Amino acid sequence: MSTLNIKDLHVSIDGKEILKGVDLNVNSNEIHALMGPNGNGKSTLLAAIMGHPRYEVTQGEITLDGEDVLAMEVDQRSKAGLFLGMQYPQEVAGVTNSDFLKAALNARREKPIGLFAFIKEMEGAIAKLEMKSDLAHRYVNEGFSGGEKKRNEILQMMLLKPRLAMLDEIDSGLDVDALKVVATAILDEYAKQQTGLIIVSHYDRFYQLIKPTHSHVMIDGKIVLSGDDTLAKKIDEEGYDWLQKELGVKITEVSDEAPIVRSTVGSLGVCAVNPRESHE
Amino acid sequence: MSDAVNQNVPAIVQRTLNSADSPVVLSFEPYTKQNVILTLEGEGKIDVKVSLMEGSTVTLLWWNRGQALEIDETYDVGAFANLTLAYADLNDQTLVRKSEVRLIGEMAKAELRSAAVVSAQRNLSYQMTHVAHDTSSEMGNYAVMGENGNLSMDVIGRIEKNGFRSNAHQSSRVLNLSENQKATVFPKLYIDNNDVQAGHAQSIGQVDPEQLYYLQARGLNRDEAVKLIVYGYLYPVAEVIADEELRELFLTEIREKVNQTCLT
Repeated sequence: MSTLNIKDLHVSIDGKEILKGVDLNVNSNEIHALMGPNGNGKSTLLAAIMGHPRYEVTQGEITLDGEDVLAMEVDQRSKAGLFLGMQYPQEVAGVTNSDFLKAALNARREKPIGLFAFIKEMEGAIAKLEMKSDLAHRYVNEGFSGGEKKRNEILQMMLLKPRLAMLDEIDSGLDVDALKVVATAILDEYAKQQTGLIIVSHYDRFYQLIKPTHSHVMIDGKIVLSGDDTLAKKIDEEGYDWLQKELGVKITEVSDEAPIVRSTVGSLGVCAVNPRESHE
Repeated sequence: MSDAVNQNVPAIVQRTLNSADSPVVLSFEPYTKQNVILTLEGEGKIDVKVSLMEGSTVTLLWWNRGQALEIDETYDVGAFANLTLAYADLNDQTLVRKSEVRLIGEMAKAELRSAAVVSAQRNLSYQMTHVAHDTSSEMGNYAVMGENGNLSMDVIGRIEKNGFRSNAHQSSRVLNLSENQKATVFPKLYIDNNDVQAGHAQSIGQVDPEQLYYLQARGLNRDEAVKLIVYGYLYPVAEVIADEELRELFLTEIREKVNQTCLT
């Protein structure tokens, strides 16, 4: 039995406060749906729990089974049992999925995983997610479709077996059939590993499949309402306006939480004058 | 190496070179195929002269395990001959290398890829000289700059007067891991014929923090994550090697050396 405990969490990005005091408790064997209009802090909460370097925690605490999560490096949080299925999974050129997964598994083991045990586990997960069998030999997320990237996140979750998994819009980019496949895989892991889950989605369709045990609505950096699974259906049908009236909360202007602009390897292209100049 | 047998799946010939062997002369008979791994050891100056006779196909892999080496390589590539060069310069020693490939026969072809982890002085010069017509060359240089690395790299494509209908292409990429390094790349094209195609491209960049975060979020510590990224960065160098066994050997060399290196 594991517990993630979040108390009075305040988080800023580039000096701007996004989370303004979040309290949340998630146990093993619980599925928490986290809803709310775009730009109100859902992704920020998950990224702050995972330890994204751009998100600064200015107040509050996060513990996993009593351990101070905020004191841990990102990789230590992963090893402690936290997992974040990301909205925008990164591509890593030249590194195959199987090399990456092996490295991730070995990072949390005393002895490296045996080749056959690894292949068996990986192939089992690939089959379950109905992914193409060449996936192991393809570079991490490179050339993957949106749906393949999302399945690849769940594949990693299945192999890493976290105590608490957070899934950030993992259903976007998936068609109806894929949605069922992914939901089944998530629920099987949940049943097998007693994983605690926090799920961010905009779609009731996904929540119908996953059947959350708890629901929360986040507005303007705070959880303004918590309830059971009927909340998702009501929001799907009626939107968030009724919350404004009933709770008197003000919904911040909807701005899409755009992916963070990557500082990539900047190509200077053909006929570069000064190849020493580095591009941020 | 002149006793190479003509067969479809060439064996891998291994040879260790040091300054005592200099000059080294390698000659490949017409219409033979050969895979060669040359391991550099010791220190000092080494001259290497390689000639590929008409129609020969040769893949040469260079492992640098030496100290303070100065290498001068020339390759003469005959008509219809095909040369593939792959360099693995992954140690922390100083190196001066001058490598010139001369495409002296029509339809001669050369591909060159270099993988370097640089944490010392490196003065490199890679040149493709198109003497004959209908020749083609391609160079791809990948350097990873570590602490105290100082890289100066000339990448030269030269098409001479009779080199009509030739292709000369080059690209160079540099990945900076440290603030305390210096990398200078000089791409150069000298062209004395109008009926040719030539191009060059360069890029310099840092490790993407989002990529690092993604790998760390899966449990890799910073050092492990950077090494995986570096390995992936250097991977294209191996793609030029057609023979699967040879390619695996090359990737193992990269993986082992990158793992041994302190990058962060």
